[in-house]
Amino acid sequence: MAVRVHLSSNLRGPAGGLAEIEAEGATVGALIDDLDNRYPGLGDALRSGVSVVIDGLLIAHPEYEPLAEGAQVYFVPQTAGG
Amino acid sequence: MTVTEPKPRYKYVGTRPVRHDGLEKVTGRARFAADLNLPGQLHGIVVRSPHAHARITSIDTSEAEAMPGVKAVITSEDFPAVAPGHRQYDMCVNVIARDKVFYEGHALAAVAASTRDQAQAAAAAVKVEYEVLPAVLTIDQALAPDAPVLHAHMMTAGANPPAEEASNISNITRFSSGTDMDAGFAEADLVMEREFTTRPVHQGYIEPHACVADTGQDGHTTIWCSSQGHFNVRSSTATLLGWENTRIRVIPAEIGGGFGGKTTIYLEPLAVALSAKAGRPVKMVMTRDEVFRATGPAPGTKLRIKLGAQSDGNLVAGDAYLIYTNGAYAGPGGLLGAMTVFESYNIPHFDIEALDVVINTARSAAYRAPAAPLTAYAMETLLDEVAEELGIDAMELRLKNAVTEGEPSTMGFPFARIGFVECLEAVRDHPHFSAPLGPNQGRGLAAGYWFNIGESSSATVNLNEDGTATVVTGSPDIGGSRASMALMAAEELGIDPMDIRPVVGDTEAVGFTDITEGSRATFATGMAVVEACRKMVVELRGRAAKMMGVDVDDVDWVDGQAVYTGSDSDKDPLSVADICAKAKRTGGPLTATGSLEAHGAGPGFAVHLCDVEVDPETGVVRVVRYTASQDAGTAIHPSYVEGQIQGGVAQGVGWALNEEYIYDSDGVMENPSFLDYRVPVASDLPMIDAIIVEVPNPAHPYGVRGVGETGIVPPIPAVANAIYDATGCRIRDLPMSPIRVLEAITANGGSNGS
Repeated sequence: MAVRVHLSSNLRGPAGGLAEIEAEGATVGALIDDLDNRYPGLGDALRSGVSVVIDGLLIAHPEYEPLAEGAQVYFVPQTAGG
Repeated sequence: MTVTEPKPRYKYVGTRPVRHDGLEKVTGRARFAADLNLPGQLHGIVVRSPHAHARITSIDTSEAEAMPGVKAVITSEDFPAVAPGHRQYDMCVNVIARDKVFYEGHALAAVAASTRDQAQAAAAAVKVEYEVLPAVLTIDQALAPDAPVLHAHMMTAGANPPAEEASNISNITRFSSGTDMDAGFAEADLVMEREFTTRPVHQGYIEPHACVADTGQDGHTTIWCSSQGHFNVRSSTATLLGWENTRIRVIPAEIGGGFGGKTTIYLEPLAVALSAKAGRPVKMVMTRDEVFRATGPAPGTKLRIKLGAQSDGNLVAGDAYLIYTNGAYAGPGGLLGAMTVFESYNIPHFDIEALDVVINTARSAAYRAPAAPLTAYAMETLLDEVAEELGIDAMELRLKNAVTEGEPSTMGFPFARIGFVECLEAVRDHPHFSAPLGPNQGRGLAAGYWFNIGESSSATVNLNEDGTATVVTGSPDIGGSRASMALMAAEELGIDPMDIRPVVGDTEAVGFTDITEGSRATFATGMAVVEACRKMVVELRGRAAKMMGVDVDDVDWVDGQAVYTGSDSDKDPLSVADICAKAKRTGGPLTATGSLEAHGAGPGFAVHLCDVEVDPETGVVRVVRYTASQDAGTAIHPSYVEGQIQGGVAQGVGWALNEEYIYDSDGVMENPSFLDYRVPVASDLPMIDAIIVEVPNPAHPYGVRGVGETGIVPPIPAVANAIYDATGCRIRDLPMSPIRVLEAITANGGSNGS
């Protein structure tokens, strides 16, 4: 499943500063694996304390979330509250 | 007052029944944690550090153990060792210090005795020897090149290049547009830069932390406590003790305020350990002094913001450098500040750097919309200055730059449906906006933003034999969520809300539920309730079909009744009570559960308008009128939405005008009581006019966003902008207490800046 990944600016270091990347994955977990293969270290950055926004929906624990062809996947820091 | 866009017509959602727990609370029957007493109960007292920073060289408990009535004394030796890198290391060593104490009031031992007096006497007899270390009490001290390093293992996360030496900076966060900032500011006709400082403030909940623990010989314990999340109390206590979760049952008491401060634990593991050692139940109740000294204040900050705007008011560039103190341990203040500072406005060129710094004060805890009120203070007052400098109305400047659906957040994702513009317009169109001001009065406008979160929730719906219902959830009710759950269940099932009993279940009575934080209870737990009710309706249709002798596909659920839609014959509709009455004969008890990880939390925006009157001779500021709009998505129970908005305003006004932690030069807190730490009381505030804006969150079945936090974000800048309007003085150091206001007026040449 080809999707377009958008990294918030604090997550771009391991991706060589790239803001957007084309990547593959049937789930967000598989997508992160693909990204980690191509940008070693990016997987660690995306697996902990990071949420995704897909089609406007904020998902805090997205590892097994399925992805549709052409999805726009935004990785963002996880938030908390009081 | 409610401003709404067209929405479905609801029978119960949006109505204002008396809350189910209201009578018990106003008549004093509600049981808070400190109200519980068990037979044979002991009283636990914590031994706390008198030093802000010291190495513990020895603890001698022998004299205390021999004192009358003493049944148990514990130190860190009674807990499993933890080392840096442990997932909850900071929490563990904050609850009970190991080799070092990091702030005055840091717990390092505890005593249980037959009476509280005996326990206090024994706690005083615990002999602790310290090697006192230099205390780091301010951001500047923490960042000084020769600063004592609090934690030898603290390597700055997010540093680029990676940190090679330990420091007092726990984390660096950087967000940027990735564009040329110099070019961005070059596009501006006006560039303004300002610095701000703020001090830690406490959440100020009226009920001190309290718990009772009863540990049996079977190694299982029951904890009664006041918290924002009893499942978290269970897991955190288990972590500290090295126990399995199944050995701990946590029963939630009513909570007398939390505001984020009861999302962590302090007493519970100590009470369990004392109870296990003594073989008796142990009750622990903090004093107000302990609450101030040892439980989480919100961070203090140093903030610098630079904005560039074009002459027509278009914001083109923003640069922010934010430093948050999170007390003695790492915290998320800087990260959250960075994520909120520019989030409300379209700023094409931005660069944000945020530092989280540790100092020798109590470990910070969450406080409603953590970090956001402070970035709003800086951003919204600077926006006011920009508007004035450009000669543009402050409201128009905000409307011109406000984010709307589809526009990118600072994090890059496009906003879904949001109601910021609607909140601005609601205030602009309110009579307050154009009302005349009196002598020495001024008016301030400010906006605020908060994310809101989802997380995990569970709910069980049980229908009773008479057709009434019980809704059990795992979310402690800190703001009227019982009423919200009942209203949503009523809407789904067609039962009167007062025939539904909303219950907060303990850790063995309902499925896992995350903490009531992030304005998530009505949003996420409400989704679980709706899910359970919809499963229940499927079951009710099936039972009704059996009773009617028809196919289930020919039975619909309409306005609380099973209605036959087939054409074979006439069938009378069956109510919930009709179906419940025959439940034994149609399949047994009617129970349904909903458990989910809630996706799609909807951001909340708020816009506040504040009038103050400033006494030019004393500097005393009195808030004389206040109007607050907030996008609730959908207000399930409007009265409690208004209450959340009003509560946020009250706390924000206190933060703006009076509240601050004051330490002496050794790091000892000097104002640990409500006499010297001044929170607003009812007579300090006018009626707060709450405008509920309803722009439904598309991810929630009723459009809920969550309302518990956003209301505290705009008050500080709203008050600051009002003080400026009244006096001509910009105060960039909190709190704006009489002495600071008077100094500013004097420095500005006299009253009203004239």
